[in-house]
Amino acid sequence: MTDNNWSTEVDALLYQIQSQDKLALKKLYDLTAQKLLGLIIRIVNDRHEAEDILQEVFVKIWQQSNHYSGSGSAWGWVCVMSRNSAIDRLRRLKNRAHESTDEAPELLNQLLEDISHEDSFTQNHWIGRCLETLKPQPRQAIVLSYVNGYSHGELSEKMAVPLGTVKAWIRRGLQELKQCLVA
Amino acid sequence: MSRCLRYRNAVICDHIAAQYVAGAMSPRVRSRTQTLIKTTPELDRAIARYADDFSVIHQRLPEPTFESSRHNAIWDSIDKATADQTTAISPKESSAGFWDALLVWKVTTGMGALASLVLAFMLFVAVPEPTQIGPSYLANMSAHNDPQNTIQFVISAYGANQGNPSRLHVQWSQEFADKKVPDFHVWAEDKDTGELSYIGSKPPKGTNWDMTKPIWKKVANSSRLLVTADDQRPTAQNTLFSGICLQLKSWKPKQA
Repeated sequence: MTDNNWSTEVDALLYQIQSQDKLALKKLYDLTAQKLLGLIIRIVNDRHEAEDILQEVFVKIWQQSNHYSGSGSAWGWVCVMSRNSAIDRLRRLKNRAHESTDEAPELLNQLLEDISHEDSFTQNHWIGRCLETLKPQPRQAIVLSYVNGYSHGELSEKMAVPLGTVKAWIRRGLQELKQCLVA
Repeated sequence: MSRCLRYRNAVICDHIAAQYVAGAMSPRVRSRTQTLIKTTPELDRAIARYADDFSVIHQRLPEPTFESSRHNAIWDSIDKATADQTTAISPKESSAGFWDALLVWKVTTGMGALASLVLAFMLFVAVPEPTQIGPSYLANMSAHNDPQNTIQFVISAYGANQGNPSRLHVQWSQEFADKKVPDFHVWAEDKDTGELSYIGSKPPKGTNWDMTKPIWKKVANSSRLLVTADDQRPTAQNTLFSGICLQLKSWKPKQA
């Protein structure tokens, strides 16, 4: 299934879930659970917690599907909800240090390369090309924040730079990303 | 600039959306942003754009192993948790529900009395506004899956005026005039609940169609209009166009 077909199917299922269609929820789970589990594990780095959060996310999807306005893709909406749930859980476990999976930089480089060399010219794939245009440190800060859920303070410690520098990297990086995406 | 207008500024929306999606907000700021999303369509759209741009990353990262036994066990828990919400409430909950309902009635009665006083004041003191001529609501309709949101036609909603009922009017863009869809059905998405209501089908002839008062209210309370190819509830398959509903004038229940 191509990315576009996959994304369209996720959209359609979420519309059906808005009508409280339980079968659609099951299909959405079958279609996305593994990707969402990966997303959550990268933030909480604990399989047991991640599975618990995954369950929580699907209950939220069932309860809050009507909050999906249709402005963007259903997959984008589900990703934001999953990230927020994972980050919230991490913050509730205050006594535990944030130890995200931190995949090797090669993995992220490979990811950017895969996305940027897509044959498809759909808007979604421009993110890879645009990330490539950023300087390495802002790019690393943005990806670590987005993929691994690091806060500014945690990034400051991890990258051994002042907090203000991290904030400036992310702010400017996001601005450049935006300019690239709309260009 | 008022607080509401400030959050409709494109630059501010964009900054908030980027920070929200990139996960760079404190819990308090994120919570505030989530409240703003519900009342600020511009922010909702900006966040959706960033979420879409970034979500492709998660689509491509390697997936963890997920044994079918665990996959099924988690689904069973989800199934149970979501089924529990529709099961009958226990007598204890039922009792609590009664007292909660009583409280609601008390509050409603109080609010009703207050509303009557305000209405009486307005009837005696407020000066009537001049007759409205222009549309009260406007929705710029673009193809549902068009990432560029190119406007193909506009649906305008006019309130009742001088004995004429309220009505909808469709105006196609000159650029897309030759691609007109002859028959379509319109749905309104409630701005508070997200519930979809059927507005009606476009009359076969002409571009105007009249609305009853209940239908007018649904349009007036909508955040978005959707156009479908048939009269079935909107899905990704049958939705042709969608557009955010802009309120141009304050809504008056006496219209229609």
